[in-house]
Amino acid sequence: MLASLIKINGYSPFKALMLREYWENRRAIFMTPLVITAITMALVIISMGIFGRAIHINGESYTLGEVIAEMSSRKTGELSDHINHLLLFSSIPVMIGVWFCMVFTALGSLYDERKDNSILFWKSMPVSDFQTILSKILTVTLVIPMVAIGFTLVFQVFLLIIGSFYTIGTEYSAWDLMWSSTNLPLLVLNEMIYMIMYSLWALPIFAWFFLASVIAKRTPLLVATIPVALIALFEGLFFHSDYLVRFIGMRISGAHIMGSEHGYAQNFTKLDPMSTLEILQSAASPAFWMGLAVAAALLTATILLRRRNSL
Amino acid sequence: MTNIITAQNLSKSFGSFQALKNINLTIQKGQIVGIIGANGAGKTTLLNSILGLSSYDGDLDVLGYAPYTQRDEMMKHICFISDVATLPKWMKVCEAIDFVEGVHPSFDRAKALGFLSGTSVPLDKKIRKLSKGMVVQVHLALIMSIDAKILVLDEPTLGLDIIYRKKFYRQLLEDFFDEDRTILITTHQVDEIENILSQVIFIREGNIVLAADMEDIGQQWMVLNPSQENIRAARALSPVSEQTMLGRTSFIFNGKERSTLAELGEVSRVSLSDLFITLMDGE
Repeated sequence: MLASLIKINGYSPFKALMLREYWENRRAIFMTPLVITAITMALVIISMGIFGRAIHINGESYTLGEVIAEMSSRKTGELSDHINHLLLFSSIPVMIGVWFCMVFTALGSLYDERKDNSILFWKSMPVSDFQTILSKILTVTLVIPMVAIGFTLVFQVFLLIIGSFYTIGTEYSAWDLMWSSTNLPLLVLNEMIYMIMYSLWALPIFAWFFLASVIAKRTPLLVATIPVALIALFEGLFFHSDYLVRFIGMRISGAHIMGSEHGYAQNFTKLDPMSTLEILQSAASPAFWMGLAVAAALLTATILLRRRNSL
Repeated sequence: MTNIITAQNLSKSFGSFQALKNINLTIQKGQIVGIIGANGAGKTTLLNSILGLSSYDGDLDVLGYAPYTQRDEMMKHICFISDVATLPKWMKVCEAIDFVEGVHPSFDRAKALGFLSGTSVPLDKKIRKLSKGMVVQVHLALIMSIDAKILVLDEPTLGLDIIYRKKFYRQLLEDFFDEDRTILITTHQVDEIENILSQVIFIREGNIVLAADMEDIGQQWMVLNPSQENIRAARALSPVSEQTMLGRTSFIFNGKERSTLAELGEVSRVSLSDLFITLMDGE
């Protein structure tokens, strides 16, 4: 199925555009999370070798047997919380790496094609600037994070397997201790909703990167950051406020969904279906829609500029 | 004959610089049109307007489309190779074929693979790894496998050696061109395309100075190499230009009777490059 999905067979312009993005950004989409996952797996295995069967928690050393015994003595709910926390935190390295990929892919998206003149080739094809930019923004804000979630799932399964190994030869069952106390599909679903909501909240920022990318004569990163820094400085000096910095900071850090404002975070890590609902509920706030409107305006400007600035 | 490109009062300015000045132009189906002019004369600007790559003032109709606003629809029927290597360097040859197949409704994959099988281009290599000649072959193979009505070539052979250049034009004529298609070419190597053109447009400083069929040019414009004693008489017939090289003087005439000139010396067809120089030097 995957093979037919990534194979062009006759006329299907949008699919071709999406594939084109994959070919161009293979490194950001695939290689980065792969490498990070491989490295963290290797680190886990190495540290097992170094620390043997002892685990240090709060400066005290426990044997793994003790840890497992301790774990299994916890209440089911508590245990499940711990494991879910662990699994969730295990996705942080990939997510951080992938976040940089999203930013730099966005910044290069409409700049690289002008730098290497390939824009003339793309423009000689019967696809509109709207379709092209849609394919690019979807790649940055949806494809890259979704593939990353696939890799975090691999890593989470890996951790559970490693954990299960430790129960071999003990009286505890890996199934009870590890596998049944978490709900991987629900975890993945939550991560996906989280990522999508993150992308939607952060969309005005990424749209701004696109605009910088289509304008920049060189170094889109500077074009994206310097004006913002100047305006923020201006705002601070003359109005003694920091709306712009807060707007950007909260959206790019995912504060709206992490719930550092509203206390969503706790619920999220509990993996209660309700918490997913609450993440979705952040879409009810006017700020969410205002952000999307800003993103739409920035992307429209980007489309118009790409149509004009072909050379 | 059907007009496939019609321009009326086509203008384009960059700031205070007027790159195209009220150009009127019609191009018909089944022609191979050379657009000739010095650097900065407005050739590329004209092509970019026709291709919908830049905005313009005035009326422009290409196959019934307004190029700038309907570029994506129009490009289903137009192919374009520009002067600079535009195939993305990170792409593999097979990916480029896949992509064009995906976005072009009238692309024939088998045809493209057929063209490439006659070359040494490796399909699994990135464009970056190919020689300049190979890149052009890939681009040409892609373009010629699209059933397009218009092919636009902007300095297509720039930087290629003579063997590739010859091959390029031969392939173009043999495998692409027929009476339903139209080719627009700009190039500095005027001599190379002279034999294949059916129509020529000279552009100078944003104006069309001459647009004519090659046949008409052959009848209108002549070169006279008069014998030494007839030079004065030739000059009296008010030639458009006079050139002396290695002691031989030659004159270019416009619209004179061939028989009148033949009395003074040897009359021959004017080459496009000589005509180009004459038109560019004139007032």
